[in-house]
Formats: sequence, C-alpha cells, structure tokens
Amino acid sequence: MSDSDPRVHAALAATQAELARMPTEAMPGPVAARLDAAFAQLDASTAVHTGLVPASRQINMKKRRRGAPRRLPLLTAAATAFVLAVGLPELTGTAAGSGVVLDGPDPAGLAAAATTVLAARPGAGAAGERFDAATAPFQDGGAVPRCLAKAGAAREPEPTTALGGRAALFAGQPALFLVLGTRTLGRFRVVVVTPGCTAVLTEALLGQ
Amino acid sequence: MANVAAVSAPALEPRSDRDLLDAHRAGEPRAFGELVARHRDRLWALAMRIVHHPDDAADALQDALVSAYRGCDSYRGEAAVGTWLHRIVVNTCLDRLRRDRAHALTLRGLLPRQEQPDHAEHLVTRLTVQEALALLAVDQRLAVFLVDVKGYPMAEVAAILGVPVGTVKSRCARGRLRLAALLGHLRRDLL
Repeated sequence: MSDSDPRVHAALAATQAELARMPTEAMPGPVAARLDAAFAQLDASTAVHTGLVPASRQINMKKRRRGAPRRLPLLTAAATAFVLAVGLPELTGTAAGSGVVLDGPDPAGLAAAATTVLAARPGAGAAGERFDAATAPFQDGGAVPRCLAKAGAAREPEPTTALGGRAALFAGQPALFLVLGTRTLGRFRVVVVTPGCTAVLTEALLGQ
Repeated sequence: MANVAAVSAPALEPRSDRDLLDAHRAGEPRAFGELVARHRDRLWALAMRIVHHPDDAADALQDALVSAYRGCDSYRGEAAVGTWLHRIVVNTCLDRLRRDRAHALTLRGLLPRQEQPDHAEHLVTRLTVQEALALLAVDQRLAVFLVDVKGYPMAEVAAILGVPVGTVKSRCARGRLRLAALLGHLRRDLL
C-alpha cells in the first residue's frame, strides 16, 4: 500500500466521513435512572452536607430526634389538623420530616428548610419523602400553578414544578412550604403560601 | 402582591464542571449527579464501544462513576474534569473486558478447538459502521471512536487513554485503514 495512492486517500476520507455520521447514542433512561439512584444513595450516606445551608444552620438530626423536646405552639383549629399530622421540629428554618418552622422571610432559614426537603430520600420514613401529607397534592403538576394563580402570584413562563414541600409555621402562622424547580439546574424557588392558597407569605430564589 | 417579602439571590452563571466537582468534594448533595448528567451520553457511548453489551456497559459505567464519586480527591486538576471522568470509564471498562476475556479464554481451553473465522475475510455483506468498529482491536477502536466519531482533540484523547499523542495518531491510522476495508471503501489488494 502506498500512502500517496489517491485510492487509499479517497477510501480513508470516505471512512472518516462515515464515522462522523454515526448517530449519537443517548444513555437509555433506565440506565440514567439507575445512576441517579446510585448517586442519591451515596448522597444520603454523606454525613454532612454543605452548600445551600451554612454550617451554622446545619441540623444534627440524630441528636434532635433523640432528645430535643418538640415545641407545641398555639395553633388555630384549622391549622392544627395538618400540623398535628406531621409534628413540628424545634429548630427554626428546618424541615425534619415533619413541619417547617420559619420565623420570617430569612433566606438562610428558607435555604435550610429547602435543602433538607430536597435531601429527603425514600425509604427513611416520613422524613424520607419530599412531600408530606399536607403538600402531597402538589405532586400533581397543575397544583402549583393553580395555587399561585389563586394567590395572585402566577409565574409565567417560569416553570412551577414542585420538587418537595412541608406543612409550615411562618411567623407563627400556618402555611405550606414548597420548593419549586426553575429552568436552571441547582437553582430553586421556595414559596410559602397560606394553607388555602389565598396568599403568598414569602418567596425566595435559592441556589446558583 | 400582598404580604410578600421577596428575597432574590443575585443571578448566577451556570457552574463549571470544576465548580460542581468542588461542590461535591465540599459535600453538596446532587452536585456529582449534575456533573455526570452533563457527560452521561458521551460516557455511555464510550462504554458501549468498549464492552458492547448494554447491560455490561451499564454495570461498568456505574462501577466507574461510583468510583469517581468516592475517589474525587484523586482528581488533581491536570486535565479537564470531563477528561478525568472519561479516563475512569475507559479504565473500568477495559478492566472488565480483560476480566471477561480471561474468563472466556479459560472456558475456551476446556472446549474442543475450533477455527476462529476471520470476519474481514468472510465478509459477504457490507458492515455497518458500528459492526466494523466492533471488529477493531480495542485500542484502535477507542482512538478512532473518540477522534473520528466524537471529534475530540488528539491531545484530549491521549489524556483519556493515558498514551502519547503519537500513539493515538498511529492507532487511528491503523484503525481507519482496517475500517476502510471492512466498510468496502478500500480494496484488499491496496492494503
């Protein structure tokens, strides 16, 4: 064979052209899901998570579950139904698989609660679910837009998929805490609404 | 909107691969998954080119990426994060291939000896590119796949495969010639 043979050159060019036309292979969905599950399991086994939550706000869940007494704030009768079902953690700005207690629109508190909600993993009991009983209806894709529209805070065209939620007390007032997806990976919108979606109590954009 | 105290974080640029890896090292959940999601199709295609069977590719890829997840401190920043991930996948798949081949050779030794057909000589119908690639030696196949199919720069392929650039070039040259024959672009008497 001679490298200068034009027939060889033509054959190699045709070969490379054919190689360049090879279709792109996308990872099959089940394989991607399997990888996601493996990473989620590894994430869940990580003892300390940083990132959205400042170290000072990280929650020692084991310690809290063992001994810390739960605060039982005074609640209205309407709020009692959903809050009793989930309980309330002692720390503010947290979501312990029970309710969320927020003093107000403090970004650090909202971020702490959002991170804990998003870090929830199935199989860990109530704390392992991203939605609790009070916010379970928001797993329906249309529920968030309906709720925000009712509260006069519709977001278009911002996606409003709920990634998780908890019953909450916001400045002592019964509420629902929702973590919403955005168009940007790693960025979330948190919204606190009244239980009947009559008003948005606060909202924040979190993440990077 | 009544009773709303909006708190907006400043608009932030998407994070780089390096940022995501650093976030993962710092313990941020989902950072590694987000990093892998950016490369997953390319890594899948790479694994499939080495081990061929989807089940084996899925197993190898999971082993590789879990290893990368746990061994993120082994990343020294000498290559791009994507290159580092590719290299881990290549090494894991090659290890699996060697293990499987050793097992197959052991089994073959127990069976009556058979003549192995030369696929190139017995080619009746024209092969698809995928079929032809599969007939190349794995080192040539990887070089050709990464350079000619995926369009990676030679230097990056060299970093992924852990060989000098000159070795990548020679593997590509030999692989292309054989492919040209397998694909019917080159007559055998010109080889």
